[in-house]
Amino acid sequence: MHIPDGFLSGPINGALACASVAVCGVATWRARATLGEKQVPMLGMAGAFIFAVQMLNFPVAGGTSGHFLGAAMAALLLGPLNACLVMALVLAVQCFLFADGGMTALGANVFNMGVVGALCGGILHRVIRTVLPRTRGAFLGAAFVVSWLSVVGGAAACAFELAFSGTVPLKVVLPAMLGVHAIIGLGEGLITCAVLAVVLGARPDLVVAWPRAAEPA
Amino acid sequence: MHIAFDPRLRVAGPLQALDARCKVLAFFALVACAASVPAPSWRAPVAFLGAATLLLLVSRIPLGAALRRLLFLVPVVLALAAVVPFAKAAGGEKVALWTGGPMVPRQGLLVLWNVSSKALVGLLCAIILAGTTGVPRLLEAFERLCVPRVLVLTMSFIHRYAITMQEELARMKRARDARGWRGRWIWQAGTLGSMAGTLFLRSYERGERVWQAMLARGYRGKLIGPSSAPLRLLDVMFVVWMLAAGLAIRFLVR
Repeated sequence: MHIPDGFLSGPINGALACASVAVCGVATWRARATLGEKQVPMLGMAGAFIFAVQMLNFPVAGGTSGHFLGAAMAALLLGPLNACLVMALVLAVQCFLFADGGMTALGANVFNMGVVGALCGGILHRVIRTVLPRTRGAFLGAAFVVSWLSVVGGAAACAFELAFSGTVPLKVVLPAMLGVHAIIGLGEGLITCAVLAVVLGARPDLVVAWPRAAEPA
Repeated sequence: MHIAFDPRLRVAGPLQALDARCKVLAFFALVACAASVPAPSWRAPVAFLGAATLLLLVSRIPLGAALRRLLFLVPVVLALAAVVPFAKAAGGEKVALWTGGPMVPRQGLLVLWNVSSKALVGLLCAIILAGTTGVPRLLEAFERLCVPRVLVLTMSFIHRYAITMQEELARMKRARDARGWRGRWIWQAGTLGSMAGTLFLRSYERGERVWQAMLARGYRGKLIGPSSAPLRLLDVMFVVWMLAAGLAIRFLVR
């Protein structure tokens, strides 16, 4: 889902870059205000983790594969705003140091994976949790749904951007993107749940979205 | 391994000596000019590709390494090729792909060429920028271009830990494959989930230890690297040349 240079039109790139810079500005300001000194390397750690895990390709069907996005997982581990910031930084590192995703499309990529995937995903998980029982199963179930939605939502945003840029007509690109990512999203959901299950089992204090993490140890 | 980590790429050359800030601005200007070429044009992307290739040759980056990196664009272009030519099927002139071959709309082919060549220009520029600058100088350039320090610091940690984690992940993959895992069906993604969870815990705890060690060695919130030289006229001229070349191709080549 990393959009290269030239796929999107100038106005679309500009608008999405403005939106992403605004959200990341708020997230940076919040991170400065609320994060302790020790947590900066932890943000970097989480970013490097997402970076590494994005290289896990999993099979979709008949030889095609999708890669893990990590946006929803980051949102549950770090909180929505921090996760958005980390996704943006991972994308910036991938773009400038590894030539993955275009420089001019960086704003759009941050919007699709950081703002839609991580920020909206994290907020949605909080909303869903208010109506569910406070059990581990319900927590993981909501995490599965949110991960699926974060992948499909990011893909839908990507499809709309490509269509509004005039690259591909919407009626062609939207079904194609949604179809592929509806399946990739299942893998994403499974991995997110498995990661959260492992971390909840060993270090529940590291899962920000888990209510008991807020209590003083 | 990835381009920015490859030690073979640290070769001396004219682009390597330029100021990192100026290189970031100059390459961004060129890519932005290339990306803004309107869809029906096919000559301007050729000129931009020529300029990017020229820069690649001047940079003395090993061509094999750069070409291998370009292969990453192939699946994206193929996916686009599957939909774009048939997209504007309603009306318009049609051309045969080869003599006696299937007919496709000319407009669709133009869009495909335009978009994929612009993506290639962007990829080439990113390879040259990273390959001639190196990670520490690139991050320092971001900081001096007024990116907030906490962000640059986090990026440096991402880069610092990404290598360690990839190696850890490679060891885990080897162990998994040695136990007979074959990725074929989607429900096997759960195995990857457990691996990822374990990786997170291991790396988090390693991160805590690294942080303690950094503090013990006197870390005060800033990584100390080679300090960059003051701006020279040549550095500024490079930005001006690249911007001028980009604008000239963008507006003069029809």
